[in-house]
Amino acid sequence: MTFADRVNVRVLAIVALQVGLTILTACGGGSTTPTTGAVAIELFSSIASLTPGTSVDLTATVYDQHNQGVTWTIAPLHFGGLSHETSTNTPSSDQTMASVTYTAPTNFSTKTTVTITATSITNSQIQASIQLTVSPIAVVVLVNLPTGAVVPSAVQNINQGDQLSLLAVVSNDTPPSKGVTWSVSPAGEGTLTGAGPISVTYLAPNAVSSPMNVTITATSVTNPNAISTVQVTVLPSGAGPNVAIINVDGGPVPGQVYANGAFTSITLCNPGSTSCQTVNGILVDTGSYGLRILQSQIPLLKLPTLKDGNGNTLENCASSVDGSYLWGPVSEADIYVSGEAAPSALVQVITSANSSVPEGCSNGGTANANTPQLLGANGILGVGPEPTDCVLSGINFCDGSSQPTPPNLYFACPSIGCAVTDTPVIVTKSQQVINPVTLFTSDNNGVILQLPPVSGAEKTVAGTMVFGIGTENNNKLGSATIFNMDSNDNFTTVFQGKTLTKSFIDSGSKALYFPDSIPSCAKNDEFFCPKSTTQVSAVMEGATTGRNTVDFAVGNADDLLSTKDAAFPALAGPEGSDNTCPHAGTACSFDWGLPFFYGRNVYTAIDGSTVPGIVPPPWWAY
Amino acid sequence: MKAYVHGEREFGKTRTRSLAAVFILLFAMSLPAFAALGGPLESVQADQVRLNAKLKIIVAERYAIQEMTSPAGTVVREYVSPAGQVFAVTWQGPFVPEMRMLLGSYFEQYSRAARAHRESHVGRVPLDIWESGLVVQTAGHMRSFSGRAYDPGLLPEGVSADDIR
Repeated sequence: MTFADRVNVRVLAIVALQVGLTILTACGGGSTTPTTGAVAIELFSSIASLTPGTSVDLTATVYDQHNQGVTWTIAPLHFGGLSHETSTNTPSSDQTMASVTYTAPTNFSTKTTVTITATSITNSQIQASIQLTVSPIAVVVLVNLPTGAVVPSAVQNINQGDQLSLLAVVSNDTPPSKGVTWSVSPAGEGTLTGAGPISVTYLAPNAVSSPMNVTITATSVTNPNAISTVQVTVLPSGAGPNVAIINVDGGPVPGQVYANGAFTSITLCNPGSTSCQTVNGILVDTGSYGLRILQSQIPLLKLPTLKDGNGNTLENCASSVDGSYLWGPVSEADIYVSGEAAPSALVQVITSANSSVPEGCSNGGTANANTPQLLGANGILGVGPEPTDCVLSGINFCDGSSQPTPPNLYFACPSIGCAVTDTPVIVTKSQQVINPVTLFTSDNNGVILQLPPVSGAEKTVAGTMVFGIGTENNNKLGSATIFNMDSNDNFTTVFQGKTLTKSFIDSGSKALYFPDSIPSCAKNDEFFCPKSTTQVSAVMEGATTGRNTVDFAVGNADDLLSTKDAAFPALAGPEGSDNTCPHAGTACSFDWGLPFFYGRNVYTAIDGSTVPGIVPPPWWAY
Repeated sequence: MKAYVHGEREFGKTRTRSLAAVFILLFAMSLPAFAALGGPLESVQADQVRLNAKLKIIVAERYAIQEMTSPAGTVVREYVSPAGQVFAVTWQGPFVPEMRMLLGSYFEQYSRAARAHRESHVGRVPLDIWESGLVVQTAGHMRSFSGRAYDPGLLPEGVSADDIR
């Protein structure tokens, strides 16, 4: 969410009331200790006007030798809320930096002036206040899809020369509503035609050589602070309502490069409403099932959580191969990806609070990966080959049908949080975090990831995620070879005489991981560092069908990662122990991570769904 | 080296009769039980009941393997020395087993190492912990996890880390 009108507001409050003085202490060597002094507060806000549900961070610099911070208050009381209070002392200084986030209410009808006050804890007479104008006028842009559906999906793609029809809904405008004005950025990249107060048509340029992003903005005439945007990617070809753009671009965290991560954008809404947020930096993961979104990325949403009859919240636990975990409530949201809608989908909201987590979930792992820095993403979109996160080969492990004691995926926690000793609970399939693809109207049996070939390394690589297999003209299997999975969603890879029976294809893995004696890197120890790039090959074998030899390169990861690039086809690393794998009955893996996807169209068909043809899912194909 | 007898060879079918006999005795006498890495072989029964697991015992030349399969299909193997000490554990299946139970006194060391690993890497990376006294390696994806953990210092004479799989 951006704010159209950025003004700087500074209030310097107060005022030294007391005269500083020093006394010489009688003991301990005669150091001087100031006992009293001036207290002052400088208050700062980056904006002065807000719209419903939006937030602003307020910061206060407190000059106080006691290094006490401030307390924050709102007037009128309860008009909006304060959160994320922080207070940081600067060592060896009398300055304290305090901050708080003010969030405007979502539902009100009249323009209101809100006063936020910071009061010194040391001296309550010292206060600084700032006034913010909160307008009830809000704008939501809806996309009128070629199918006739109208969706609040704020990320779209169209082909060059094609058009996109948009509608604007303005709420709480002074009647009669004056509607919105429309603009496109960068200016001149396509045109807006038929612009009216509530609708417009965007005409894409006739020719683009590579994917081009434009932003279309609707701005309320009455309140220019109230805006809504749609991000449109114009493709040379291949666009469609069942196509989402993916980017291997290092991920959403400034200063941190997520190597070989394919990221997309989704729009999440409170169920059945147009109260939505668009979140970018979502990792596309064919190695897991279900959407897992950081709570910190959806502050404007109020997603209902699943509760049992006693008011306990159903919490979900997702264990990772590295021993870490994701923890947070099972929540209901409408998910929009390009022109596809997954209504009332159950998702995991990764909780921001460092609350107590049952040891059955943490299992010795690290703290909940609940920040963009820890996760490397704003969320994970699990579009792998299973319909929910507790189903495998048609067996539901969490609903009590296959085992009386459920695994460590779901916990029922009271409002004060779970105890570390709490044990998992049984949940039905309809209460489990769901692969959102299975909820799409017709393109619901799988996904295709398409990435162009990469030689060496690239800073950014754009590709597409196509939903459905054989459901539209743009997602046919064609001549791709199917490799079906065994009952653990694995297949076999034969590599240098080793039969790796637990192998898999996974867009959520950054590298090709396999057992080998190539030395690991000195710096990036999770990867291989051969002296020079090595060309090797391996044979993929489906459980009962599919066989192909794949050639690939293993580069020196320390050299590769020393650049600012993000896409590396030759990134590989160790998984398991090389010498154990030649033996029969050994659980060894070849993890065909994202490097395998470059230059291919990789299909993942979902277990239990129907795909035209003779091989029942789950399978991969390329 | 002929130390390893293939995993599916069942209890009592090895060529090394004398050692097998020792294990038979050991298991039969004590109703041996699930134990953690580094721990003694004690009562299998309690944990077998707790895990609701099927138990299989495999005897090799220089060690024995207790293999338990949970109803969800997660297979846990414990490698037991002739002295009755668990020197390695492996797991494979849809769910990660309870690491505290599996690793016993090594759990805290594992936990510290796993945290350090997670915090020093962006995104998910298979564990490859090599510390003095503890090696842990993992692989897999959601609903298919595998791994092994052992203490190099506890390996019985003639047993190599490559035997642990």
